[in-house]
Amino acid sequence: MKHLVDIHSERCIGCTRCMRACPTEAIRIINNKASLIQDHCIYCGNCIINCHKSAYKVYSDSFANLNKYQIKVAIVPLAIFGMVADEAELGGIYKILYNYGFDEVFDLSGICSLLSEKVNEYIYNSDKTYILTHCPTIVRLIQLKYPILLENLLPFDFPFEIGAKVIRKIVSDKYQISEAKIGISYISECLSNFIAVKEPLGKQGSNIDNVFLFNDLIRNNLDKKTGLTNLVKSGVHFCQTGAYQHINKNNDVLTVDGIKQVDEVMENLYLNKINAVKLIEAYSCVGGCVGGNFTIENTFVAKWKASQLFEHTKTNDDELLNQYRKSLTDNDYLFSELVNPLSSYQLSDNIKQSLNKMSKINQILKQLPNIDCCACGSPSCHAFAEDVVNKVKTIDECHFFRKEK
Amino acid sequence: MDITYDFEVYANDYQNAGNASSEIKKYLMQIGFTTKFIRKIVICAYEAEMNIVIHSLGGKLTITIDNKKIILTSTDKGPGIKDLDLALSEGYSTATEAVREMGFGAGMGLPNMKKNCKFFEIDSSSKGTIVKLSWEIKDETFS
Repeated sequence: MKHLVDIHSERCIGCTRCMRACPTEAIRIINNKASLIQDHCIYCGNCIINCHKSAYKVYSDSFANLNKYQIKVAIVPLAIFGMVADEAELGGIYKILYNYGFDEVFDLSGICSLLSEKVNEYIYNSDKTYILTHCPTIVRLIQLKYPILLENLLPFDFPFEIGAKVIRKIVSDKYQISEAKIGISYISECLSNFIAVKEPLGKQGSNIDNVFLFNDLIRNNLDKKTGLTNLVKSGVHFCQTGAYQHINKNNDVLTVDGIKQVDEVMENLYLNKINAVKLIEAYSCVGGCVGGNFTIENTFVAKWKASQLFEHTKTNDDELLNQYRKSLTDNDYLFSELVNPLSSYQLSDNIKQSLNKMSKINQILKQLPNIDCCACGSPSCHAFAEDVVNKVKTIDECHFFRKEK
Repeated sequence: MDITYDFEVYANDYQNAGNASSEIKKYLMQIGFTTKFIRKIVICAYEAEMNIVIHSLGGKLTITIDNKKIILTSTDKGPGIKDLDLALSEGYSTATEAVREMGFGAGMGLPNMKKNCKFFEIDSSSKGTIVKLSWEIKDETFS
């Protein structure tokens, strides 16, 4: 399979910034260039935002793909609410997309509003602490590092997937054409959602046909203030952290953002240290979706703008909500398959071999300085020792080891 | 062949408390035990680590793994547990108010450890406390 995230080797200088920012030790520097270990990657995008040489490239779909569809639909991400201060400006964004040739544009406020009703109904049905499934990177983190917590994941599909399911039905009704003739594109605000379209989680295939990067398509919204939107006021807050805390008055929602902080909170849940919490609202990006790696606005300016948009939006669009509600079946809200654990960290599927490798790792570790300088191109001395045992690196690549020899 | 990991744990070091058990979790996942088995061990390691931080003058946590068993030992430098029977009962705690305000010291540490391991030994004097926990490795504990 072609790698969806790649590194411009002519731009990468092997500086280790991305490697040190990676929460899952999924990057190594090999021959002075960053290299990704796909099996350990949870697609948080920290590498991309920490690269000062713009060396990371993400392959989005080609616009030419759209030609085969009779009706082209664009779904704008939740992060858009952090770019506009009122509905007219949002209409301007819609207009940019109509100019690209899309026939219909939808945002996800209505879907998130309806989804939140389902979530709030669901979490009080047992005494578990549930983990919100808005962010695919959080799901991947749990698959990789906390597989036992998969049973705490909510069963609900990602908002853009639920959106695609209902929007396809609505557009098919409106134009009286078959669903297959409708091409749905998602304009992704982050690597996490982007990859979730390409490598679906909790389902066989994504409901999205094509995916583009937000900052490739939408760079400014200054000159075009016009047009109607399908904004639903009660869904605006879901573009940022704290939306569930905002609507849930019982004080039993824990909100956390930033992948390293989320990791710590999951560790707490793993150790049974979190109780009396019904829902953990976790986002990989600081600030939630408005902080997505492909957004342009500063996260905190975006949060403020989203509050402005909420204030300036008069009432809920009940007609639109009812239309969604009528078209959505209970199953549309759910993942269609179980999300499985990933065992990518496991050294071997045989215990003796695993122990053997661990013991070798320890022996090598004893010869290393244990200062985690990263100069060898591994994120820590321990990771380097693992790499040596796995024959990805040789012990001579440790600068201190070489010097002492 | 066995593998041993030692972790120094400092008294009152709430900042880094939990690091040792987190490392232990990582190593156990690398070896490839089942998630349920790992969680039991990690919960015990965490409780042991916290006991050293909260109640002792400092000590260390040691885990030894071979293909038959896992042994977790917590050794501290004192001052020892006055009443072992009480310490082993749920909800009994000698933690100060300040410690409880941080969310620790609920009196579940030792009972929790006892519940989550196969063999449990404890020995305490004013010179220090040694807690030794172990688990058997069976086919079904390896994934």
